[in-house]
Formats: sequence, structure tokens, C-alpha cells
Amino acid sequence: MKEMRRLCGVIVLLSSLLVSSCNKDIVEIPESNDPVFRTSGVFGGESFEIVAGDNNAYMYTMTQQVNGVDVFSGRIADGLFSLEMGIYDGEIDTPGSNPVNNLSNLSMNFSHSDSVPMIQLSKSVLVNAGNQSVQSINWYVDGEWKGLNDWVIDQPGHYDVCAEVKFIGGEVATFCNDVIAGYTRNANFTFDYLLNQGGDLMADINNLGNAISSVSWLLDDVPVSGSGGENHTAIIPAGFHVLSAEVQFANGAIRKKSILVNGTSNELTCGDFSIFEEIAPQIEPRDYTIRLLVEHDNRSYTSESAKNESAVLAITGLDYYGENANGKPVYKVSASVQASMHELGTFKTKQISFATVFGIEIP
Amino acid sequence: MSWTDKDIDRLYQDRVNDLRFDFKPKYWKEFSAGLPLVPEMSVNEAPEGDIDRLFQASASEVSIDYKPEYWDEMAAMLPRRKNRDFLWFATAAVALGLITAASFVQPPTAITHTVMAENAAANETGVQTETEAVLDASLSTEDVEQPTAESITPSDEELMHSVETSNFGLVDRGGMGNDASDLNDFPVIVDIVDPAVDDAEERLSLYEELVELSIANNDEQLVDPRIAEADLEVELDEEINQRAEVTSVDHLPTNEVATIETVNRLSVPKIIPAPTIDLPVQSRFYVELNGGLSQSLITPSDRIGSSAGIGIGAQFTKGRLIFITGVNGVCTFNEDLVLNRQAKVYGFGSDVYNYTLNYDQLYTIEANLSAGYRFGRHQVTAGVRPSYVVGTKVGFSLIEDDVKGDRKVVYGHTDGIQRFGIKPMIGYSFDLPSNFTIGLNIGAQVMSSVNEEYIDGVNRKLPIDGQFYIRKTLNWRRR
Repeated sequence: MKEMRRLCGVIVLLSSLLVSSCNKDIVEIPESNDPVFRTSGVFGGESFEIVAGDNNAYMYTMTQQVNGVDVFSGRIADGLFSLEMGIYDGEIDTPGSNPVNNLSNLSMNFSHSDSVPMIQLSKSVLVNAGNQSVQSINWYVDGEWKGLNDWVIDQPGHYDVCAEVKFIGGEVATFCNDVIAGYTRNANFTFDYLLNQGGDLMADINNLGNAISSVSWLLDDVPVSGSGGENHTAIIPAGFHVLSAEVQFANGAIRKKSILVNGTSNELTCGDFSIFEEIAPQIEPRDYTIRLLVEHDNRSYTSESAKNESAVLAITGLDYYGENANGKPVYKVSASVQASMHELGTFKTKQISFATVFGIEIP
Repeated sequence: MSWTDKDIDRLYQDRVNDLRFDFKPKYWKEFSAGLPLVPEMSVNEAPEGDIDRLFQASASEVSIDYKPEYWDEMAAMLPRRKNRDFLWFATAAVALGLITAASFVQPPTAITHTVMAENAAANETGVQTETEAVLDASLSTEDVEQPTAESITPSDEELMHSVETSNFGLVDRGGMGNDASDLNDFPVIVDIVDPAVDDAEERLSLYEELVELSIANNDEQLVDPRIAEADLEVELDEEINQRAEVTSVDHLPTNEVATIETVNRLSVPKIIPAPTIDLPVQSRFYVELNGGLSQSLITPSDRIGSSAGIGIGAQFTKGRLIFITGVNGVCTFNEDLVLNRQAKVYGFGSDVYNYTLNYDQLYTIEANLSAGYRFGRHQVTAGVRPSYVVGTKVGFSLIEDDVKGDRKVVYGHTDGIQRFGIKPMIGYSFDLPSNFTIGLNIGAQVMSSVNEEYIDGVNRKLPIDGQFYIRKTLNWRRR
């Protein structure tokens, strides 16, 4: 009996060793699955269906910039028909905001454009009427020269505007400010200053009721030591200098405004560009709105050419999918859409309605 | 089997009838010492057969009360076994013990000696004595209703009647001689060791009456002429005392021994039923080596698969029936088990993957559950072999753009294989010396073996396989 038990034990042990010693490599064969991204509907009376992965169709995802604002976009195309859907960023003055969280809680609308100009850059608006020292201003928007003394920006956006000021004495000085139009400003302030003939400067900021976390004063983009309050006094050296105040608000918004000062003469100064934001028309903010772009038969259509009041947008799902080739996160947006598409360069419109599972890059 | 008192008695009686004792002089001395008036008798004058008959007749009237404690004592002495066969053995041992005790402790009864005396007288007169007639009647099986066990056994009343009516051998012989051969002419008056006469004093008084009767009748024929009257009284007293001692010391207490009634075997049909034998289940382990050939699992294919394996198990035998349970580890070698797999994976676009899998070997654990019947060394079995694929050896290659890449070997990949299987089978085996057995099983796979979505072909229905094995049985018994 003992011998039998031993024999059985040996057999079991050897068997266990044999089985455990086998290299249990498993061939990792991907499993077939259903298409992930697809769009099907009717455009201008013609039905269409695009399945990413079939018939050379592909789902592209990217982040575009439109007038200084990120547009989280995706485009599905098979070479004959392409459909692009984009979501404008929101809280553009609040770094680190989470668009996905906001999108989950919002009912999104279509973006639209107005015929009313958004930003009117003007020398006469910037310089006091009594100041005869400023001869002209060349306006640069996003690094491009736009015009002399006056320039109109007709689309919402976040612009980097620089003014090249030429004085009567022949001096030329340049300073810049960012200008936001057509988007929600989550916090703002005004930059007030007083400069006497001796170069003594007294400056302060008005938070307009918004809680401030910190204030940084810079002179020619160099932080001024010992400064940090809402008030600032300094002796401006001779010559042209750019004094900036960068304010971080309690809600996370950060704004920077700059003025042009001269320690020699208090007439050789220019204020910041807040005036242009204040006189801009108040439109429905473009934060987290959607735009559509269609390319078909070598023609391009957009949903922003006019108010898309009849457009219907129902988003039924927003789920993380994975990363694209650029390593950016991509989300699956399940939606059904009805909208008017306007052909670019013409006044022709076509109706589009479709259901889709769309991929959009949302960082 | 449940044993009754009567069964035990019959067993005892049966054993008694078979007993034979060689005569020794000391037996006679011991025997005669218990007699009140025992004429001297030559040792050679006692025929051996008579002694046997005396003993048997005496034993046939012995009845000993049974007590359960006797059985418990006997059972406690036996080794613990679950086998019921112990019971009959114990009973036989008890009976043998009683026989031995009875033969050396209990003196013969008066009836026995009465029979002797009556027979002696009958030999003279040719007249059958009453007792003899009773015995003859009991012996005779002709013209006599076959007695049952109950009717043959003399009851206590019959014994009493026999005692009371017996003349104790007092016969008128009409002369006697001094020849010791005339011993049979002299009645022997012995005490009655019989439960019918419990009182020793009563027996003694009866005894004295007989002596007085013989003395009063001055019937010298009744007494040993070699003994003077005075000596007779003295001897009588001594015998009385001796007998009293014997009565009080040598008598076997009748209430302390099991009751056993002897029956003449010739006149009693065999009534002891043969004990039923409950055969134990024998269990034996075995180890085996096996190998086989099988049809291809898929069709169309004319390839033959082969297998090899080892196994262990247990074989249970009850009579001619055999039950086998075992486990085999089997390696199956295949040449045609090629599975092609294609996968299209969708994402931003789609990718198509083509793999070719060659299942070179399948490692299976299968059970052996079968039952059979033994014809001497030949066994025929039928059963099932459920199996489970625990591993594989797979060679695979990637095909990309119709170009086949390098072949790689991996273990454990079981996609495309149906892991569970079951094979009904029939088998034959032959026992060789030294506990070896060779055999052959033929079975058919009932369940599908491969996933048809990924093979070039379809599952073959009931692929047949044959398995040859050589088995070594290991002797093992439960203790």
C-alpha cells in the first residue's frame, strides 16, 4: 500500500513537472471586430455611408486652430466623400481646463458667423484725442500686418495684436496685447496708470470684482522685483518701455495686458487694447460649439456661413477610444445631426442629416 | 446470515457425530471412577465401537442453555473483520469447544447404560427392550414417518419417562458365573446426570433404594459376588459419598452451557443451510503504456493520426465483473490538422491578419471508465473515454500580402480546437503472467474536435481510433 502511494505520488509529481515545464506560449491573434467609426445619412438628397476601414475609408482625428482657438476635430473620408466635425474649445483664457468634462455636461450647438465685425482696431480709439504725439499705428494680427491705423476682425477668436506706433518725433515703438472676441472671458481687469514728466509711474489694476490670485509686473517682459500687488509704482527710465501686468485669477484664468510708456515724456504713451474688447459686439459665445465641413464632388460646404437655427444636434455618447498616431487621445462621439450646409463661395445650401460614431481628438 | 439456537445445536450435533475417540485405558478408569458399582472390567473387553455409541448416545441427550455472553466472548477473541464470513467460523469454534468440554466433563447418562444393559439382556433373551425399541424406532427410516428435527429430539418429558420406566437393568439372569465376561449380566446402576432429575439427593435416594432392593431380594445376581455385603455397604457409602462429591463437583452446571441437542445424522435430513458467501471486492491499481492509430479528425483527408501515452488507474473486481477507472495522458500526432485564421480588425482604418496554424501535437488528459466481464484470462469491456485537451504544440506562420513568413513553434495555443471530447469504446484484453495485461480498445470520437470556421475541411463524423495498451497490475488489498 505504501509502495502504491509512493508510485502514485511520483507519477503525479512527474506529470506536474511535465505540464509546468511546457512553454505555454500563446499566439496573439487579433480578434475580428465590428467597425468602430462610421457615418451614414443623406446629403443634398443623396445617401452616403462611410465605414472607416472599408473601401479605403479612414477616420482622421486632429486639433485645428481657427483664429487662435483650438477646434477638436475629426474627419472621415473615403476619397469620394468626406465629412469633418469640429468642436470649438471653451474657456480659452483658462489654461488646464478639461474640455471633455465640460462637453459631457453641455448641450452643444452649432457655431455660426455674423456679419457684424468682432474687433475694430483703430488709432483713434486707442490714442486719446488730445494726444498729438502719435502719428500712426500699424496693426499686426497674429504676426501679420493688417493695416494702418484701422483694421477690422470679423470673426470670433483669440488674437495676438501688436501696434507699431510711430510718433511725430519719428520715434517708433511697438507693444502687443491679446484680444479675445466672441468667446467667454472668465475673468478680466483694467490697467490704469499715471506717468508724470519725471518718469514717476503709478499703475494699478482693477479686477472688476473677480478674485485675484497673483499679479506679476513686468518691464519689457522682465519681472520687476519686489512687485506683486495690484498697485505698482516705479520710475520709468528714459526711452520707450512696455509695462505689463499679468494677473492670475482665482478661477484659473490668466490675462496679460501691456502699455507703452516713456520715461522722458508722458505723452509718448499708449494704453492696452481692452477698449477693443469692450466695444466688440456681444455675440453668443463660440465656446464648445460644433461646426461641420463636407467635401463632395470637389465642392466644400460649411455649416457656419449663416445661423443654423434649424440645425439639430443630439449627442448620445462621448467615450474614450484610444490614441491616434500622434499620441493624442481620441474620443468616440455618437450623434445624430441635421443641418444646413452652405457651399463656400456661393450662396447654395444643401441639407444634411446623418447618424454617426465619430472620432474626435480632444487633448 | 442469522444463526438461531437450533442452528447452533444442529451444528454441534453434526460435529459430534463426526467425532471419534481412540480408546485409552485411562479413559475407562476415569469413566468407571464415576460409577457407584462398577464391576471390574477388562480393558480389552470394551469394544471401541460401543464406546463411541455410548458417547454419541450420551451426547445426543445433552442440552445446554445458550447465553449471549458466550457469543460476545467468542467474538472478542476474533480479529476485527468486516467480512461476514467470520460468523460461521465462530459458531463452529464454539461448537467444537463445547464438544470438547462435554466429552471430558459430562459422565454418561443412565439411559446409555440402560441401553447397554438392555441390549445385553436382549441378546440373551432375544427380546427387544423398551428403550432399544425406542432407539430402533428412531433409527428406522422405513414405515416410519420421517421425523422432523423437533420430533427426533427427545424432550425432557420423554427423558423423564424413560428414566422412570426403566428397570435400571434389573433382570433375572438365572445364574451367573465368575467370568468377567458376564459383566453385561450385571446391571450397572449409575446415577442419572440429567436435567430432568435435578436433585442429587433424590438421585442418591433412588440409588439406595435399588441397592436395598437388591439386598432385600438377596439377589446375588444383582450384585457383584466378588464383593461381600459388608464391603458392599462400605463401598456403597463410599460410592454414595463419592457420588455426592461427583454429584456436587463433577456435574457440569447445566445452566451455564449452551443447549445443544444431538440428532442422529442418518435419520435427519440435512437441515443446516449452506452459508451464503459474500464475495469481497478486490481493488488493484495499474499502470499502463498505450499507443494507437486514429482516423483524421477532419475530412477530406486520408492521413492517419497516431498517439502515445501513459496511464494509471484502478481495477475493481467482484466475481467475474470488472470495473475500471483510470486516467491517461496521451499525446496525439497530426499531420493534417491545419487551421487558417483570418482576422480583420477595425480602428481608424482596418488591418487584416492571416495566420496558418499547424496543430502538430495535441496533449490530452482522458479518463478510462469501463466495465467488463472476465472469462478466465480473457476480458471484454465497454466504456467511455472522456477527454480534455490540456495543451498543444502549434507551428504558425504569418501571411502578409500572400507572403508566408518564418514558421514559429509555440505551446499551449488551443484556439480552433474543441477541448472536450468523449469516445465510447469497446475493448478486449488478455492477462499475461506476472500481472501483465495486453489489450485493445476501439472507440469513436462523438464530439467535434475542431472549429470548422477555421479549418480546411469539416469535422469527420465519428472518427475511429484504436488504442493498444500493455498494463501492469499492482497487487493491493485493503487491510
